[in-house]
Amino acid sequence: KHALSLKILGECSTTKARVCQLTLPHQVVDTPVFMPVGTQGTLKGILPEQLEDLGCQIMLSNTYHLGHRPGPELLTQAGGLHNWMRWNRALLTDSGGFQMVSLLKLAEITEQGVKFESPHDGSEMMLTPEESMRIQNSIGADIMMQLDDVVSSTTSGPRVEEAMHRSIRWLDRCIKAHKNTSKQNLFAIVQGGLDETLRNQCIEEMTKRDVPGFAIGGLSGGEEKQHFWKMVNISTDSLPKEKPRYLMGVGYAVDLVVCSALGCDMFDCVFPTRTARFGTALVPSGQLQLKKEVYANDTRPIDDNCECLTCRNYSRAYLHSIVTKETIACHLVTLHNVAYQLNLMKYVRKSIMEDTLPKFIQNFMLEQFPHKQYPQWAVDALSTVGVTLL
Amino acid sequence: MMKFVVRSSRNGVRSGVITELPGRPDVTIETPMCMVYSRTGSVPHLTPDVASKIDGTPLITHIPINSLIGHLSAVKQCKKGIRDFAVLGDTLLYGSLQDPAEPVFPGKNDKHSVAVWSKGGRISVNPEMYVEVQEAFKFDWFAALSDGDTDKQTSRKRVRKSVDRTLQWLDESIEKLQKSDVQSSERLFGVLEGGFEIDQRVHSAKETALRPVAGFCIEGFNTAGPETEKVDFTEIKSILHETLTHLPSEKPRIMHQVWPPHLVLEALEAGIDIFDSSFPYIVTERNAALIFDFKYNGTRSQVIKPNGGSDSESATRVGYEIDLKDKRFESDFSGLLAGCSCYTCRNFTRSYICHLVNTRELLASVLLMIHNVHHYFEFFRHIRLSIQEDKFLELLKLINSQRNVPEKT
Ligand SMILES: [Zn+2]
Ligand SMILES: [Zn+2]
Repeated sequence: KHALSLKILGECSTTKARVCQLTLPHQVVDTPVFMPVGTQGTLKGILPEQLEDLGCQIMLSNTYHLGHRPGPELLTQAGGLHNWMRWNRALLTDSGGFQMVSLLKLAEITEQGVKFESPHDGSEMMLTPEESMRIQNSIGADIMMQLDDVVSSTTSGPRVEEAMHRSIRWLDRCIKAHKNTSKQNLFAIVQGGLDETLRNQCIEEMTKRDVPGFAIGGLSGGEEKQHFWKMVNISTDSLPKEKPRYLMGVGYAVDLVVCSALGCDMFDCVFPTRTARFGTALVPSGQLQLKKEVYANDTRPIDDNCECLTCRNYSRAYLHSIVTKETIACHLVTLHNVAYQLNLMKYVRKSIMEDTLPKFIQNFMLEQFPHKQYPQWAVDALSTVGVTLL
Repeated sequence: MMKFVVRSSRNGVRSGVITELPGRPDVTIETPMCMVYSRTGSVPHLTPDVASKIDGTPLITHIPINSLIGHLSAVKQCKKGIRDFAVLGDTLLYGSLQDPAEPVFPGKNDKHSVAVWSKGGRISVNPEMYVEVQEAFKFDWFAALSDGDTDKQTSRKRVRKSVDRTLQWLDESIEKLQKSDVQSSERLFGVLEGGFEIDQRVHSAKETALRPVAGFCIEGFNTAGPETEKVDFTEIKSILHETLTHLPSEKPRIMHQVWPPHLVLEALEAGIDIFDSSFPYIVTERNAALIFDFKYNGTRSQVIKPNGGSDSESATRVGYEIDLKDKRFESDFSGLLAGCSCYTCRNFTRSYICHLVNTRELLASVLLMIHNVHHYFEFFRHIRLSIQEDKFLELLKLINSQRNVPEKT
């Protein structure tokens, strides 16, 4: 049996959106959920306790970084990442493969695994599905990702098909190597590039395995949004309803809302926390660049309706005086941005439960695009699930 | 009218109480004390919810004005000045001209103005602008405009200029402030200059003492910045001894610099009452944690070595701090300092903090800052306790036994 359960609490009568209660070993998570990314076992200067106060139920850490420093042996000694970083709620780790391929120029994929040059000493190393499982087991996250064969979402041709088949073979190796099934859940990652047939074939094969959840992978890598949403849409059409669906690397507000309507449950993205560092605050109408001179005398909070610590206390003028100069500016904007993402998802869940999601989406989109210059992909994606914009 | 009473003065070390602060009849402050070092009104690295996790935070927050002077127009909009702008709640606010932790580039002052270094660059402050700043910022206390750009090497001529300018600006400021609604005699601290020239020092002290000031701030021994933690205090101490006798005893004396523990004690013996906490900030910036012992009663059940864990062989702690960059802490699952009750030590290990330091994560500075500031404030609490219990010399001995000893690896 798996170390998670999914209970569907409500479904939108128009779109494919749903609200679920995802029970994980460390936390019950309300979905659709946004997961902030704490790459190295910490989230941008924010204490775990502050994240809890914001209502964050699950966060992400990166296996490639943690496997490199401090490494699986130390993590095991420390009693796992939860204990080491003092985060009592749910954690999710990626497989390390994607980071490796995107961060290391010399990574090469073979049937055995991802071959790469050690950033330490230049020696040749190999991340196999077994090694990825070993590291992820030492981290001890509630949800782990299989190692998949990552190809750029703009690649086409036989390489995409090869990667899809190899990802299925690697899934089997991961399932076999996973040593902690009673406390950790292994998710499969659906591949197949931008090819509908390959995606469906991949889902058909992967759903034959009894995995606790699925991720939709290989997207959000610079492909056209029209391709992106179609792949998301066909994936949620065929993935089993009773299992969680995680759309990897997606976190812009519009994408979160549209893809929730398409039936995705989980999202992650570094953008909200990374952008805070440069003083960019997320607001319902888009973004505020707090560095800009126009905020020098602006006594309003970032967002009148936000109840985060930053908005309850500080003016844009004060934030303007410290952004890019003091680390607390980064912390304050990060707190707000995480609060913004979590609140957005709270409103999405609330309107699904009240079955008013289409109305919510209409208002949300109008606020983001007051001149109604909606991106075509969003218009198209939403219309396939029965939502017409104002 | 603010009242400062010296309760005891032994071996030159003063212990006092400040009461009846303007508008704050509720507040009692015991000296010797350490103000909370802040930049832009916030403790570096700590958002207010995190800063509030530090127990026993002193009631005075120190704000070097350089960090905010570039935002004067925004502060002007706030009814309660800097208190509203930086959301500072109930604490008393003290403004200094320079930032003790930031280097000041010498040679930029002239007879009309002082160079202040904001993040946006140099701002020249003259008495007129300084009064405008004070009217807008509304500090409870603030140091007067001063030309402190002198050190051991400065010529006699330049030192005299610094003393004369500072006195002249003080008079100009008092005159201007009396026309405004700032009650300068309760808020303004006169600044003593004079470099290492004893006659100039005495002149500066005597003259400043004649003015209607709330207290005194002593500077001009060296320019501000992290390097001040390494100063040789011997000569400074004897100069202080001689000049502070010319000050009325019932007014508090502030001195800024980066204060390692032994220098705090030396300055206390010379008659200083109020310090700033830029030292734990500087320690945090070099990724280190304070581990020095101030429990002078000899109740140490456990002796801590910087290389982690306890060791019954070792008689004392060695050095004031440990460097968390050091790989030997990678698998050290103990807290930063055994027995420390701070938030960091109650929750996190050296191992995790070492990782944060080596991966250059922002949380490293947050966790180190909580511990270091907590430890430093505890040190000051023990200073007051030692005076009360007449054990100051024991504390002095304990601190000196840990001083300047190179760390063993
Ligand atoms: Zn907010
Ligand atoms: Zn501590």
